[in-house]
Order: sequence, then structure tokens, then C-alpha cells
Amino acid sequence: MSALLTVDSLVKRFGSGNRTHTAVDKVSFELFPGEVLGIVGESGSGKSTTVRCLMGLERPESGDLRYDGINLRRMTFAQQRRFRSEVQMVFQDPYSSLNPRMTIGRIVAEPLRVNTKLSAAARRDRVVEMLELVGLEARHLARYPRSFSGGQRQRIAIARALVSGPRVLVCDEPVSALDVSVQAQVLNLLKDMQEKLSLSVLFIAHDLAVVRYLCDRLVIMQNGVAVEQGTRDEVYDHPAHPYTQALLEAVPRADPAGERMRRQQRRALIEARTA
Amino acid sequence: MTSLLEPTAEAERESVDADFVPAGTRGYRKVNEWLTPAGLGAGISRGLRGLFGRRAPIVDRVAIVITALLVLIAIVGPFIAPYDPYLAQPVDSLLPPSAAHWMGTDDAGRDVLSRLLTGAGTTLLAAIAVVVLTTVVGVVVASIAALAPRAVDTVIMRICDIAMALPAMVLALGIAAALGPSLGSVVVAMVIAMWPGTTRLVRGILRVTMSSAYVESARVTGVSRFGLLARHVLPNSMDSVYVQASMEISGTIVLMAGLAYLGVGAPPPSADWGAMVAQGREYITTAWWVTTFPGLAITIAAIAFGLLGDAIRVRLDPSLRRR
Repeated sequence: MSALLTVDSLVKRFGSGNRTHTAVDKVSFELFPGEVLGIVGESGSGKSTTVRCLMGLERPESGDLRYDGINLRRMTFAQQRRFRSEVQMVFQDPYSSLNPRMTIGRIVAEPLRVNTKLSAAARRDRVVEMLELVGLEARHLARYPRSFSGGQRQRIAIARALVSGPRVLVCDEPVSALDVSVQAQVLNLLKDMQEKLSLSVLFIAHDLAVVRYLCDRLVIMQNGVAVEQGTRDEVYDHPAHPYTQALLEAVPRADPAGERMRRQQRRALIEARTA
Repeated sequence: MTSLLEPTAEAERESVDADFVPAGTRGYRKVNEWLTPAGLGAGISRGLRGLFGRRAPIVDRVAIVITALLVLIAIVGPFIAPYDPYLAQPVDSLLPPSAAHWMGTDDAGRDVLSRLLTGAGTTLLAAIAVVVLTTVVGVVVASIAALAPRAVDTVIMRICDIAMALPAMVLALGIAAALGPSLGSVVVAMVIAMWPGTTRLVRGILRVTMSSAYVESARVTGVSRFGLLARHVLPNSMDSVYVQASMEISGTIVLMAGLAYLGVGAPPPSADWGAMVAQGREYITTAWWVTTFPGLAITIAAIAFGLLGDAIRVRLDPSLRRR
């Protein structure tokens, strides 16, 4: 099976001269059709920057970015159109990723307006269908983003990303700006959509618990380097890199007794080390 | 809301952009998002909202009352003037303020109050015209800079830098002098002198808006650069542009009065405030009223418009808005 998205030794630096910071350092990974690939790492590990380079929001220093045979750094106009309509993105902060001056209907219809030749009526039908799919209603069409909650806004963002029938969905920490109770709803929605539309998803998160639920494969990033890659079970059951182990250690357990035990062990370890 | 679900023939006929706008406000909303007078009005009305309310600060209320009075004077001034502002009566020259002439008379025996009332219109209208024109030029040029490749942007900005290195006053003086003595030439000269500063500011505003997440998400969707600017960046930048423009009015009033004082502006008989100050200059030790009253009028107008600009800023500036 050939990869849908390929990132090959991507390098992105910020700043110039002595104050250069290498945000992404030779990161490589592939996204295969129909899978959910998680990119996990702490803040500043370069996971967002990687995706921003992929989406053309940042200009990388070097590296190869490919989508289905298209070199993303040297696209013809037609290729660009294709890439833009087939790869969509959901941003982290649903409070700032929706234009406050546009109605929900227009926001969700925008990808259709730019990427398809549908008539206004057909677009409207498609938008309503999409909004209903993400749990909103047709009566919300004429409202503005300010009258929606964070969870609803993220649903709107997901509807916008999916309305033109993309093959790849890129999610940049889509739930980390949301309340925990809402996070689960949005994650469920993403999972449903992924299964229903057989999407390939690139999912960024800093939380391994979230990722475990969604992802088939994982890339673990630290300080701009992809330190570990593997299937979900490999990474969870046999973490090879110390950073991955530390990340997994940080995930709280749902079982209070077990969690207490674990904490005691950890404390004992720290005491043993300091003594 | 059912009408949204069942597109009518009428809805079909509407332009591509008209989908999904609140019922009843379809046309209005559509223009509001774009740069039409209606869109402008919506922004300004939001800026003025609450200025009349009970909770408005005293300063804001004073500003709005005085500016409203000035505008009123500018409109009805010529009709309520007690004397003919242009009729010279040498017999009555340089009379001090009295019951007959509240603000005295000038060296030609013309009533200062009448001239003040008559001149309000040209003085204020010219200042507002300058600000509106510079803002329009600034927005257009900054938009071109934002759309064009980086090299063009750089060239435009360097031109602005060069133009800004020259003092606006001197530049305007030179251009106005070259164009000849008329109010129109001063307005043109002021626009030429002021557009670089405005362009820079507007470009800064556009760049801030461009880096927001909703613009990025539109970009990722495949919206063209022009589409980004027209549908996302400009509608969300106009508030800051209005703030900028409203803050510029008072400076423009002072600058134009300065030019008129230096003899560049509406030709002699006309009653421009700055020109009136210049006229009374020679008699300042013997007849203070000839310069004082127009000078006071300029000061009051500048302060009032300045305060109004500030009040509008507090209400519109996105960086000051409560979250």
C-alpha cells in the first residue's frame, strides 16, 4: 500500500543568525489511506509546525512533502487545487478559527464555494446535511460563531473541513481547547466521521489518552525530533524511547487504587534516587 | 427558517455570495461584509453605540455634544449668521466685542462671529474629506501590498518610508502652493502628504488580521488570496481602520488650519478658520478678538474630534475589546 501523505526529513527553523531555533529536525513519517496517525509530543515539540509546513502555512527549510504523488513544494495550479480540496484541516482553537463576521452557513459553505461548482441551492443542501451529521441543525445556518459554545464551534469546524468530501483530515489538537466533558463528544464525532467516510486522519495531540482512543499508529516527537514511531499497541505496550515511557507514565489511570499504588511507586523511586 | 431549506427561485437568482445570511437582512449583511457605504455605516454606528446612553462617560458625552454642535453649525451656520460674512464695512473695522458684534469685527469691518459660523462648514468638511480620502487610498494601496508578491509590498513600503521622511506640513505646503490657491488643492495636497502614514498603518492592521486562525483556515481550504482579503481580512480589519480614521480627524483640522494660516488654502475672502487667524495676526496686540475666536474654534474642534475618536476607539478597537 502506498502512502497518501509523505513527510521526508522535514526541517523548519525559526529566527536567523545566532538565534536560530530548529523547530522541526529531519522528521519523516507516512500517512496511509484509511488510517489515523497520531503525532504526540509536549508543547514546543514541533508537532504543530510539522503540520503547518504540510498545509503550506509555514515554509520549510528543507525536506520532501508529498501528497498522492504531488510534491507539495512544487505544485502546479491544478495540483494545488486538488490538494486544497482533498486535504482539510481542523484547528486547535475553535474560538479563533471561525470568521466572526460570517454566518455558520457561509463558513461551512466556503470550501464548496471555492472547490466545487455546486449551485447555491446544492451547496445549501450539502451544508445542512453536513451540519446535521455533526449534530447541529439547519436553523443554526444563519447564526454567527459567537452564539455557539466551544464544542459546537469545533463541530462547525469539523463540518467545514468535511463538507467538500476530503480524503485526508488534519487535526491540530482539536480538543485541547475544550472542556473535558466536551472533548469526548468531539472525539467520538471525529471517530464516527473517520469510519463513516473512511478518512485518513493526521491527528496531533499532547495527550496519549486521547490518542489511544483514536489512532492506529503513532509518531512521538520531542524537541523537533521524531523519537519513536510504531503502531498504537507497540508504542503503548513496549515504549522504546525514555521520553515515550515518561509520556505514558504521565497518563492517569481510571482505577483509583491502581493510580494510588503507581504514585507511591513513583515517589519511592524519586526518594531512592535522591537519597 | 424553512425558506433557507427550500431555496426559492429568488434565492437562486441571488449572487453566489448571498447564501446563509439572516432572514430579512440578506442584502444588508451582504454589503456589510464588503466595503460599501452601508458597511461603513454599520461599523461607525457600532462605534457610536452607547455614546448617548446613560452609562457613557462624561468626557464621551461632552465630545459627542460638541462635535454634534460643530456639525450643526457647519450645516446651518451660513443661515444663522447675523451679518454678511463677506461684506466689508471699513467704518466698523476692528470693533471690540459688543452686543451688536459678539466677537467684534476684523480689519475690514466684517463680523467675526458671522465669518466663524460660515467658515465652519468648509473647515470641517475639508478635514473630513481629507481623512476619508486618505483612508480610502490607504486601504486600497495596503490591500494591493497585501495581495502582491513580497517584492511589490517592499517597494510600496519603501515609497511610504521616503514620503514619510518629509514632514507632512512642508510637503502639503509645497504641493498646495503648486496646485494654486483653492480648498480643493489643499485637500489634494493633504491627501498626498498623509496617505503614506495611513497606508503603513492599514498594512499593519491587515497583517495582524491575516495571521488570525480563521484566515489561515480559509487559506487551507483553498480560498484565493483575493478571496481571503475580500471575504476575511478586510471585513475584520475595518473596525481598526475606522478607529484610525477617527483619530486622524483632529490632527487634520489643526494641520489644515496651519496651512491656511500660512496662506495656502481657500482664497482670501472666504471665511476659513485658519485664514481668519492669519488675517488678525497683524492686529493681535490691538484687536485680540480677531485671532482669538477662530483660534479657539480650531482648538475646540480639534479637541472634540480627538475625544470622539478616542471614544470610538474604546468601542471598536479589537485590542481593547473585552473578551
